[in-house]
Amino acid sequence: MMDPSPGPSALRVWGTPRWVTLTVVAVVATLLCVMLAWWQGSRTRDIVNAERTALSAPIQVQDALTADGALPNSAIGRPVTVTGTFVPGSQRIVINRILLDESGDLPGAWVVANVEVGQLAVPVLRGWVPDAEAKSVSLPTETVTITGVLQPYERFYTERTPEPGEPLIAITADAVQVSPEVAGGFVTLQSQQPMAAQDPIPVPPTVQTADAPFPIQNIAYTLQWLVFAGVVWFIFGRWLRLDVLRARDAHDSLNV
Amino acid sequence: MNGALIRFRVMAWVTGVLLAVMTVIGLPLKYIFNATDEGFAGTFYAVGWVGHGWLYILYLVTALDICFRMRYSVLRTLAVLLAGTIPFASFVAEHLVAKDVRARLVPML
Repeated sequence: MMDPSPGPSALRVWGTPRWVTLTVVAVVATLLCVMLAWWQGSRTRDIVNAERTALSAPIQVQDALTADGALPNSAIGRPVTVTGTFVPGSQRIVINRILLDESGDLPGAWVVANVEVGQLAVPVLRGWVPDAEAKSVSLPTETVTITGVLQPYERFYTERTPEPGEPLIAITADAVQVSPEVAGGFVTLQSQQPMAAQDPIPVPPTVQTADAPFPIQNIAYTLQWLVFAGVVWFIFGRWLRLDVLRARDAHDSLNV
Repeated sequence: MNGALIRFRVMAWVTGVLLAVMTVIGLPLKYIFNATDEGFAGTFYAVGWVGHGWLYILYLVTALDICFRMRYSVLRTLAVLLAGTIPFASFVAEHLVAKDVRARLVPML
């Protein structure tokens, strides 16, 4: 006589401790895949946004900063204009800086000075000078209009560890402070009106976001992680079905 | 079974060769010779890894197919699937699976 019961249901198999464990594993694996997809997706978005920012028309520096005068990460690489006067005595020299020239690498130094804009002191990397001239570079006294690119302080990128004692552009306590300095960044001068012949030579921004290639790796990984999340549940379903079939076989053989 | 094995073997070799090339040539290019994102080396690097990602998905499909047909255990299946992400491991997985399939098929002939 045939057994009228069809054997254990899929739900019954799923309720076993083995499948409860496998479900937890599958959920964790899916969350991991989705998190990694999210991470790669935001990397893609950040790179595309950074390029758009770098190619945008210059805006007033104070509009690119946060309300309390800090550099937001989203403004790194943004072209800005700085209109104001250099703060007398705020100039400092950053030694050991090379200028990449057609004729080779020229050793020298960078000249940084603060421009007072409203209630804020904006550090400006004026440019490069040969070492010997560094001490004698003068500060313009008239109001200047500077066009430049916002850059993070050089400790921003932790993968580039500075040598011990290596000079970096960073916030300076000893520079003459009339206003609070912009927190976290400075402006790399690209052009200045008016500009004198003896002024430092403008240098290209260290952090280049304008001509970054499209992040195909990041966008492809975003999609791939989502596919992997799907694969997890495909495997889960196939194994569960195999287990249900196996359980029914066992059930049938018991009833023969 | 024969078709499934051939598909798995092809994907194990294609995925394995690309992963080996990216490990032996791609990684040193970027991390030892500091190739930038621009230019030929950068494009080779990005396209190579993206290519490996999509080939790996095809590898997953063929590997799952053969593992389900062979009724492999959960751990054994996971080992075959992960072999596609470890340099040179897919060649080993391919060899072992092929040997196993042949061993089971021969008595049936």
